Amino acid sequence: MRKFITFIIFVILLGLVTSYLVPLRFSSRYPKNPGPEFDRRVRNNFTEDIDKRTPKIIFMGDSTLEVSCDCNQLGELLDKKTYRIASPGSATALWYLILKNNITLARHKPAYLVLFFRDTIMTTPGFRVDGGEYFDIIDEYAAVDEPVLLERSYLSKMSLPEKWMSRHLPIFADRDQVRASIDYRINHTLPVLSGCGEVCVSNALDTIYSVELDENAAFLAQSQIETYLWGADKLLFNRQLPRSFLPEIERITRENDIQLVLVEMKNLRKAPTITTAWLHKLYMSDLYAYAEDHDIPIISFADDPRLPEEYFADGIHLKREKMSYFTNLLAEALEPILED
Amino acid sequence: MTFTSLTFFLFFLIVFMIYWLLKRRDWQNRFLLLASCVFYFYFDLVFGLILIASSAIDHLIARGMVRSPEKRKTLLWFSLIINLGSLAVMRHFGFFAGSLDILLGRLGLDLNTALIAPLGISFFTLKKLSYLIDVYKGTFKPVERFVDYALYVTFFPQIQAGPIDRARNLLAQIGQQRVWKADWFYNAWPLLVSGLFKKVVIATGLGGYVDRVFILDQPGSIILVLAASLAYAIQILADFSAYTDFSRGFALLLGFNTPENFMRPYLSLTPTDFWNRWHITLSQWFRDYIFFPLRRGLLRAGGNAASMAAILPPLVVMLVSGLWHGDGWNFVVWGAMHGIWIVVYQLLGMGGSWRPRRLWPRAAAWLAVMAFLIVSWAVFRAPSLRWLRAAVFHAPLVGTNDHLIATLIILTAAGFYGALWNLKPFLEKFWERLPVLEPLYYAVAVIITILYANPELQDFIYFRF
Repeated sequence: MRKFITFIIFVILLGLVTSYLVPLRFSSRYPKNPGPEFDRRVRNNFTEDIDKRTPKIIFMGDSTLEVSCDCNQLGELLDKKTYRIASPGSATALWYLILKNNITLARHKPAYLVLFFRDTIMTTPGFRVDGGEYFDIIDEYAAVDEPVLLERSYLSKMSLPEKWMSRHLPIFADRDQVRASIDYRINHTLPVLSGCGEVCVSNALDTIYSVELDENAAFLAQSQIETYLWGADKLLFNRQLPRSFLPEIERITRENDIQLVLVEMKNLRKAPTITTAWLHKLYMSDLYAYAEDHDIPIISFADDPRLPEEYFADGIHLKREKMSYFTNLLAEALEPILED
Repeated sequence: MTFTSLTFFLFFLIVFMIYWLLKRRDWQNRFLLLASCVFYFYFDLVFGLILIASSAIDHLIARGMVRSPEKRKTLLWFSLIINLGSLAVMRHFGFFAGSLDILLGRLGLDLNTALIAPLGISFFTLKKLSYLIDVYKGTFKPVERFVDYALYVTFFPQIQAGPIDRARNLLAQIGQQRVWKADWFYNAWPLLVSGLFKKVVIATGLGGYVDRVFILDQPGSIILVLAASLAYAIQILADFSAYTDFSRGFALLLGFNTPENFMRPYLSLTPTDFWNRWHITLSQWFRDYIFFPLRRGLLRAGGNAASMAAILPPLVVMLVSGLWHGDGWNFVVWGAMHGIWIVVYQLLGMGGSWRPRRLWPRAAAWLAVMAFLIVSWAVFRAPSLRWLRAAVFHAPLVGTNDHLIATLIILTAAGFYGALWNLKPFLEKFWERLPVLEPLYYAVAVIITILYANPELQDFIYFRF
């Protein structure tokens, strides 16, 4: 009993001490708003590009779009101006921002917006929004005040204790900064002794780790990340829909006279359990019903036998040499949807 | 629903409160079984139903062994075929998923599944087998109530990754009246804090450094792989012992004493010593149900077979242990390496109790063990044997200056997280003289854990096995 009470007293004391020291070290003010803070700058490179190129169709998606669709070839096949926004590591949060803060601000409006998705991406707003590179790119396209983004991608993922700690507990709220300084020391202490400074360490790590990955290991690591999309809660379409960006994307495109088209890409990942597979089936049928209700055509390559396993470089990406082949398939599928 | 999630915390809180409100043992058992089913069904409903059905078959088999002793052997074989068969099929044959897909497809249910093995199958299968073998041998009387046996199999603090508890320990406690004592809590909270610290800070902190080496197509330097393997040695122990701490802590809060799985294995001086300290409940299972029977059989057979009694059992046990961990060739090689390692030490007269008196030979023995373990963890963690062959035979020892920098960074990380972890065994020496140190240590662990808190924590490594 005594040991436990002493432990609690120490936790409170240490909590107080760190609550004084951490804000002092990182110049932060409390209480804080939970969730990330976005800077003032909003990148608008796509707005300028769209005005310059005046495309009829804009394709948007992540790296699966980048490796599978040749925009110029597609434009020739469809006899229409096309434009591709393929951002590796992106998902609906970024697509929503680019649509809201770039595409709709262009003087020229495209007639079609074609979004590439797989699994439950369209209704999983918290996918690819946290951590170094993911957050940095979101921040680039986010304005200071993004209530929908903040709520759907960040706050909805946080539990009540997390929200409370983010607001009042510096050791929790500033933990990314504290950990960054620990990682900095781990990365530099010994190399500095051997004469390797900050730039040297950064170059060394880039050289060693920015190379080709082992196929199997990369597939497993990728599967681990993508498992997020298969969580039981993510597979409940009607629960996820109001929390996702899909209704917002649908509204913005409708209000701007842009026809939204969804393309479901094939991937080699399969449901890990029978229940998951069953839920996934239900999810897809609900998504299709929603799309039909809102006049959103869906082109599905999910079970397309014309895209066999050997055409894939890994679990989700087509081999680059299959780009032209897939572009033909896509043009063929898009033709009946596009109006003259 | 892993132990570190808020969902589990809420689940456990509800279970804990209702459980202790129930005063009668049979109601407590029924409720715990229900909670265990909910816990498992959360992972997968179908697998949960299969688990309950297979437990019912085990129960009938065990009862049958008592009712018809003349059919004991047949019944045991039947249960071995069912349990080991499902373990082998679900764990080791990828085609099972494909076959199931085809079967379901013919029934008009095209679900496109790639079944992973049911969560914890390697662990609960061994639990079930130990019960059935003990009943067969007459060393354990089968339980009368199915609820008790089903709870033994599905007990949620243990179902995901052990400890592989024996019937004589857990079932005996399931059969006893349990009354709430404050001691349950006082013994449990340090385990829970410790588990959280090891998982969130040590295992996750090191995981990033390890993963990015073992994902490379060509690591390009042997020392880089060895440094990553050293970090992995710390990571896997922290991860698995964290799980065990949670398991034991939650079991204690429900009034159950469950076994420890690790006793500072990296202080071992011999391979036998290591396996007596590493994943203890698994080692004891293999010892009791494979090693000893095989050794006895060889000794009884006499002649050439008897001369193999010191060699064959450890080799077989470690090969089985390798296969138990996974179906890649690297697991087979890892098991074989450990088997040969044990045999060599036995033949040199350096068995489990061997311990040099003087400091330097002791230090040398420890270094030899650690060197072997680091190499063997590289085999265990490598994505494939092909990868390892390339890493060892086609790469220079040190590589470029960049490789050296990357290696130094991993070594610093291993040193930093290793030191954080070893703070506890170091401070423990002073806990009796300075009792305030123990709660202070746990309080610091809590603060560091908050610093490393990540709501999207990865699963425990041993969930894969």
